[in-house]
Amino acid sequence: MDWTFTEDRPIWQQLAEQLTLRILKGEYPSGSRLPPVRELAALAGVNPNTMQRALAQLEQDGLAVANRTSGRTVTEDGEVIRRARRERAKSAVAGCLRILEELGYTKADALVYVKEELSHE
Amino acid sequence: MNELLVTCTGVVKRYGNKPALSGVNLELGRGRIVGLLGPNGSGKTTLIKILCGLLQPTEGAVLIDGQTVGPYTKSVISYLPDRMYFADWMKATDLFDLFADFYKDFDKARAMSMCASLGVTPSDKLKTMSKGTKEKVQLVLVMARKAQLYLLDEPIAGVDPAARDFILGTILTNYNEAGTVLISTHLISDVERVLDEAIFLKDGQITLHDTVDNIREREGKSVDGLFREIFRARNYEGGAF
Amino acid sequence: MFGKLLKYDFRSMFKQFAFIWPAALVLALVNHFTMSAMTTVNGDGILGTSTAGTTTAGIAMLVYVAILLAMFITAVVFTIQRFYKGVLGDEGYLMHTLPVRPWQLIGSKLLCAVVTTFLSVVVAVLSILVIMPWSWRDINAVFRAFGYLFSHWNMETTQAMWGLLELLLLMLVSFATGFLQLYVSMSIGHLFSKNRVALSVVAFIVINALMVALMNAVLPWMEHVIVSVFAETSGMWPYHRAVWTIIGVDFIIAAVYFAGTEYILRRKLNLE
Repeated sequence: MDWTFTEDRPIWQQLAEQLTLRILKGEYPSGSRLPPVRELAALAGVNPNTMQRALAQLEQDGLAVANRTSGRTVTEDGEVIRRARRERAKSAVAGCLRILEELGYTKADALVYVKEELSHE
Repeated sequence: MNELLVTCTGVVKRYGNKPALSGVNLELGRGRIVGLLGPNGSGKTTLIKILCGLLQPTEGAVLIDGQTVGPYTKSVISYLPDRMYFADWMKATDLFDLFADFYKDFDKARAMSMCASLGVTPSDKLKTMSKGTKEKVQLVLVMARKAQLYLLDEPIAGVDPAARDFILGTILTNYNEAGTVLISTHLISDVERVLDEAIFLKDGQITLHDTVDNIREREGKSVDGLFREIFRARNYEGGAF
Repeated sequence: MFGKLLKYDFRSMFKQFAFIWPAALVLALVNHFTMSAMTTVNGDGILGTSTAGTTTAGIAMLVYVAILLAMFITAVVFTIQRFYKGVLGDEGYLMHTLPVRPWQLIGSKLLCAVVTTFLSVVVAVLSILVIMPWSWRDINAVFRAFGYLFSHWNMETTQAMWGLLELLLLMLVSFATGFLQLYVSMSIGHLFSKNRVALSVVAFIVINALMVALMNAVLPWMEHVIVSVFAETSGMWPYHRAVWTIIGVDFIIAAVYFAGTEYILRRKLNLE
């Protein structure tokens, strides 16, 4: 997965979102050590201070834990990750519904389309 | 150690009657990557040359780490000019020796390993190197120092986008985190993600100096977008671009 | 830091002259043999010349003179170029951002230029000695003469040695003055934004004219000092006075040039 940034919002926020996504996808598994700030910054091609700020956000969200000796690890608390995943799923569905609503469909229509799409698979 | 790394007070530079800088006030802290942004002819190079002691300001004062420009400030500044500066008969390793001789903070082992990762053979004569390779050598010389202040004048101008990422990556992975990096450029979209702060220079004056996050939050657009907006009028006039 | 600057300036100097100095001496040796081959001794013990020998000797002499000329031109060009490119040109971006002071930059370049020229003079003198007809016996005699000199050292020898050293110093100071005149001219040319080379030449010519005028002004006094060397008979004193006067005047001029160059580099530097 590449790092991409949009123009309209601070980069650290976008970094925090993309890091969260990586954790939820299991790219950085629960309990594993995150790469050091400088390395992550170089990977994403961003300023280390910006990466630092994104990681601070992850810590605040409870997804990352700072250790005194070994840098940062992904939380071992499975509940935190599960909750974050649910939230992400909810907001994805909400986003989808919003688009359909803008197109003039009702929630019932949306359900029909989702079922139809699932039956194709 | 002084808290502020760079302080410019009322810096004016005139070439003859032509003003290049008209009253620059600037304060830079430590541990930042700062973009000095402006179209060609806005005074970026002049300001950088004043900071590294290649030019004397007509008026005003410059302090670096609390000292006026001189041998001490030169010993803590690592400067990448917008041109080649070596004598042709030298090898890259000769230049490393020279830097190791004159700058206590030059790390020759790191220079060699940077050469390896950049694909430069340091035992080659500079005369035989391509322009791109020479530019890499110059970047190695500058980034292999553990300097307080890095002054990089248009480090990514005139190279293709792939090489730009490469150069920015080299800068990001090698700079001294306790020091500050000042990058002058007019290619803002390429450097925006690596910056903490942005300085807009227009007609020899600083019109904006803020953190990139603040600018994005306040304006709802990227620094590049804001820059284009501010300097657009100039574009249409067929000015400096 | 000054020592480190010298190290790099001398290194680039030796790169420049690594070929030409030995070449001049080797050619001198070649000439020594072609010259002696030119003169043949016939059966009656009468000296004569062979046409072939003369032609070879002529060509060898031409090459030797050419290389000697090239050596001095190189020395002057080297001096100008090391300063123009190394201090006022692109290399200046490196030199002026090193943690050194402008006077150290000038001093290092100057010392290097003076030594270069002095060594070129030494090579030239040596090469002439090599060309002259000599045999191992002559060399032996020279050494014996020196031996005699040292074993019979007295007041007069000391005096003569001092006199020689003074002349040597005079030569070095006048080299330095000449080079500093070049430096200050180039620095003045550098003050302008266009036609820097042409204006450097103009500056050099103007300074030269000023110097001639100045010399004319002080000439009567100088004449008095110098003529007295021959007029008076009271030992070496007038000689010392004359040499030291010239050294002093040269030194003052050199100091003015140096100060001017230093001021321009420190306050008015503007690399393009």
